[in-house]
Amino acid sequence: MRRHAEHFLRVVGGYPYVSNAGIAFVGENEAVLALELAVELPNGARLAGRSETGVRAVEPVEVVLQTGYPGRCPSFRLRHDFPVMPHLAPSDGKSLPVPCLVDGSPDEFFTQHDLVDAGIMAIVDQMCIWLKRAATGRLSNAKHGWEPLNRAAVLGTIFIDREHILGERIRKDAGCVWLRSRYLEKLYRAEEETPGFWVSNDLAPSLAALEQTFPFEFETRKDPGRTVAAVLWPSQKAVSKDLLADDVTTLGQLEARADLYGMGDQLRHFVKDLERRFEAMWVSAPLPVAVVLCVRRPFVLMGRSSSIECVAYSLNVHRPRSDNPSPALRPDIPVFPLRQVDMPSQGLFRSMSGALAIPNTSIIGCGSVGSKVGMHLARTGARILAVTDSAFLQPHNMARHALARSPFPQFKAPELAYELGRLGATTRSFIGDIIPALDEPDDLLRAVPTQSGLLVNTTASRLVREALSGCAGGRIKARVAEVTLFGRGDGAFVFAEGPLGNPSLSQLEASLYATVTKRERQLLFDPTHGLTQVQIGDGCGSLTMPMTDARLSAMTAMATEELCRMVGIEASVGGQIAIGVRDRTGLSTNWRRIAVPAFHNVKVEGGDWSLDIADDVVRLIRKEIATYPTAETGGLLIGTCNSRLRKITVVGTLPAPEDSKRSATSFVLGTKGLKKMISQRFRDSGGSLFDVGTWHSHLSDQGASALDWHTANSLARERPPPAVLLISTPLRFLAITGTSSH
Amino acid sequence: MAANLTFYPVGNGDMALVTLDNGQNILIDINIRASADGEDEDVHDVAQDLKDRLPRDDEDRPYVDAFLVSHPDADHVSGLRNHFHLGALDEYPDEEDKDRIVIREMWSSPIVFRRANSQHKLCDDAKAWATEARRRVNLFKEKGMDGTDSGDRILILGKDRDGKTDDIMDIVVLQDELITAANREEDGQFEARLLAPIYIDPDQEDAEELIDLLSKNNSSVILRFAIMADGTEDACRFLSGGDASVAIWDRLWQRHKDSNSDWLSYDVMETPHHCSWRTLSHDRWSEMGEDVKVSPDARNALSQCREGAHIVASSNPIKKEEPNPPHERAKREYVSITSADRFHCTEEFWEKNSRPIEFTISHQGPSFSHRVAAKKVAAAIGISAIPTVARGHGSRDGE
Repeated sequence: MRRHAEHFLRVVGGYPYVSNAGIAFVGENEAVLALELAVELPNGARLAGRSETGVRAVEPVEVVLQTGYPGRCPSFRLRHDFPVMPHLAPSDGKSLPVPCLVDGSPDEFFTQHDLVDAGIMAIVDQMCIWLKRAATGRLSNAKHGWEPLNRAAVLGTIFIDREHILGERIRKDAGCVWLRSRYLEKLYRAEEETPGFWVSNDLAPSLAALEQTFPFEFETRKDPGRTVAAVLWPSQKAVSKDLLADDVTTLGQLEARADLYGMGDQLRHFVKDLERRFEAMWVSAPLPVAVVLCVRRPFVLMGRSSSIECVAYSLNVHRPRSDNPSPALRPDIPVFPLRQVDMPSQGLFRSMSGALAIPNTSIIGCGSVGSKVGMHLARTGARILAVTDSAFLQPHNMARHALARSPFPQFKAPELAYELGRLGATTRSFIGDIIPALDEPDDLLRAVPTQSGLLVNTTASRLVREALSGCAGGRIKARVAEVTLFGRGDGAFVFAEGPLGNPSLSQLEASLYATVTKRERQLLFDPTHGLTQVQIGDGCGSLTMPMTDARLSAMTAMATEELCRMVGIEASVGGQIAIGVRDRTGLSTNWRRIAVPAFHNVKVEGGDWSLDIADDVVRLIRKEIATYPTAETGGLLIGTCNSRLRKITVVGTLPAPEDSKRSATSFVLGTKGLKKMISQRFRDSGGSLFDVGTWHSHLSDQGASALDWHTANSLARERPPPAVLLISTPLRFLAITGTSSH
Repeated sequence: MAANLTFYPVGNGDMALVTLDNGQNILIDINIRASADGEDEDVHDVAQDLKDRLPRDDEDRPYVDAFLVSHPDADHVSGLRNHFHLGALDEYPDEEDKDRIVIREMWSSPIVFRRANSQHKLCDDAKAWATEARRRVNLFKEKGMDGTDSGDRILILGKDRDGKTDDIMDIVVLQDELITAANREEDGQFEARLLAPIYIDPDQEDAEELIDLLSKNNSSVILRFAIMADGTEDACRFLSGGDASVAIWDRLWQRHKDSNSDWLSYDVMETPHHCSWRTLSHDRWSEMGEDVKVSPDARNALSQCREGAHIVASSNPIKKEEPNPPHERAKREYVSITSADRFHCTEEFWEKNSRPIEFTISHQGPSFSHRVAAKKVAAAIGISAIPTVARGHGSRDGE
């Protein structure tokens, strides 16, 4: 941890707006760094030293590195009295406020950068942007929409038909209705309360004969229980502009909160009615009931068309038999927050296709792309042996998923397997994450059964792509392929690895970046809807890339056809890439194919890095050497460098500039114009390809010289990523890399 | 799209981009030197940077909604033929490497009606600007408002003293009037008051003297923008003054001090004439040194700051011993108007931060941008570090 903390400090030390940085704490599993960040403020606020929203010109920020780093994103905390605002989990008195920096998975955002250094720069930059927006109150406004409470981490869930409630139930004056609902006491095996509610659109009577408890009924093993969800709303005039910490934990606090929202009376009414229903009864076990507060906000919610925010809670009615019964709903009984999820309202996509015969297939990822690839393949008669995914089918998945399902929680993988089964397949499902499964032989066998001839990754996850790279021929016998969409479904690529995973998915990715066209580049690396899909700025994982089901299906279908061509029985076994992009008019989509021969692996002396060189590069180097038979020559190596995998991958070269010097015993690589060419390659490849080293020839079969080692060591001292020196002798390649300690 | 001001590092020259909330872009002057198109990494490739920021039309052509050349000097118009499409749009070249920028609407001073002569020498790019302007004016005469579409439009900023603009007054903005649309899109995004060039009535008493004064630099267009951001009008005032010298600023103060001094106020100002001494004083530094006096009128005209205002000098690094412009004494004067941390020089900033100076504009006004350039990030993590010096390799041992 200390090493990571020191490295982090070193990187942010070069960041111009980090005005102070130090290590606050280092433990076994955690390191805490203290940074001071200069905040970009409007002219007036800069003069005053703080913004109107209370953000200071220099803000202290804590960075926490935890176990798993750098595979995990560092987390950030602000000072305890940082003003409450959107995209911020406010302080609860004990912990510090936590800003929400990335829309989507912070870990994916962080690890999309090959170099940990780049990831650190990116996440610190994101923190600075966040503070800048916080300073001008721009984290949320009428234009971007009101940000609803972020309850992504809450496990208890309520599924409601929001449109129905807002459209059919809520009136101008304050009110309350009870809706018939089903419940499960525990959705997840967790220690905390994780109830689930499915709210129908049918009214339940709030008044009934005292001896009658309907619509309440306890959950049984076979059947979810029956209960009510009370929907409360304030009068049209009660608009809540204040953002309050999400810290309600008792019924008393809920009542106070409802008062603030302008529906305190409605809540008290509801509690009284509910109490009356159970007055003459003993309730043997707690019975969950849901409360939905429909809070009126000053402007429309993000990604919605209404300004009403639904904030839901659950509470338990429990009145055990007693001689001296107290009311069931006392102010001190606990209430629990519920994550609100929309009920589905969309139909199912039906497709037809045809393709060449392909090997028995296993699929990783059962999301919209994975499910569609699976259905397409199954409908060609391909045998889908296994599907893997760890997630639930959520109602919002219905927008583009191949399956239509009820909103009850069901895992994606078994559901997809079931559906494929109806097409005649005998598909097994594995509920879990493929990355840890790679190290668990039993799990791996369930995800990729022995008879699999093809493994298709549809997760679009950088981490999965990396993890699968290099598995083929070892832990996985099947050929590994990938289908990924990008640019709002205007682009897709398909990779198929070569024999024994050479080239691997990661090498294919680097090879693709070495040859991208202008349009491909625009879509792949566009910051707003590029490959990563990890959006920064507004919105906390509320929505994925917006695109129609039709667009996703169109691109996935074409990609599936391309996949079938690549892995068909008659196809070449070598590494292959296909990439398709829709042109700006939207009228046509152009695909191109690239065959990628196996990479050459060269052992690197002086470090734990491994070097893979594209075949094209090897041929180019040999051709160049042939033109200088009597002198040493060389050039610059362009490629990627992944510090997690300790891999340097070379996919291109830049020629030696004109001020280079060649002689029989030495080669001096000049500088003229080279930086500009590197910048161009770096830009064109979306920031992934850069100068990873040099190559030069030796006229006889002789290893690295003292001069070579000297150059290697001075390069190592000058920059954090390794720079490799590739030496080509008449008989072989060898490579060295320096260490900064020499 | 957020409103934004960008000041490019172009040596002693001007190049600024005003981006509006609605995504429109107004470019003010260019000085894209051959070195910036070349191999030298240490000169910013401003043309590429500009193209990266500009939107593209359906034909994938980058475009600016309006392009103002403040006056036709090389340091304000260089690179025009290389990087901008001139002529009718249906002649747009389609090859990938000729990714030229379309000028949807030109903003030009009436000086384009003056033929080059011994007093009025023009570089080739300036001649090309004048030719294109005349093409558009003629098209307007022929086809009128409705017949001139994006790519054929032009606004003439100021009335021509010889009556050359009399028959095209629909596309002429008079001194002291407002421009409220770029490329004729009335969207309430900004207004820009035309403070200069100063109109000379041929019949007025001092016409002869004025005509002499108002050549070249002093014919510069001076605009004071008021830019809307996040729905707030007038969120940022930006004063852009070309190369106008002290005589012009004296006159502007005399003209507006009593009732319209507010017309000169700003949140961000680009110093006229690359921080030259000539803007601020009638005295010659070479003769008087530290005894020189700043002209009070010009200083007044240039110091109508709103709270926390910034001043940007678009110039080479400012050094005491270097020739004028930029001038170190002028810098001291500007610092006294704002403060040391609110005075910026484009080339000094580039040397340190590898990017143009930028202000992002919110409803609370402009903020001096802290963005870290991608290039800076790349450099910090060591990308392009191999060719910083010549690197020796070889089989010969012992070196």
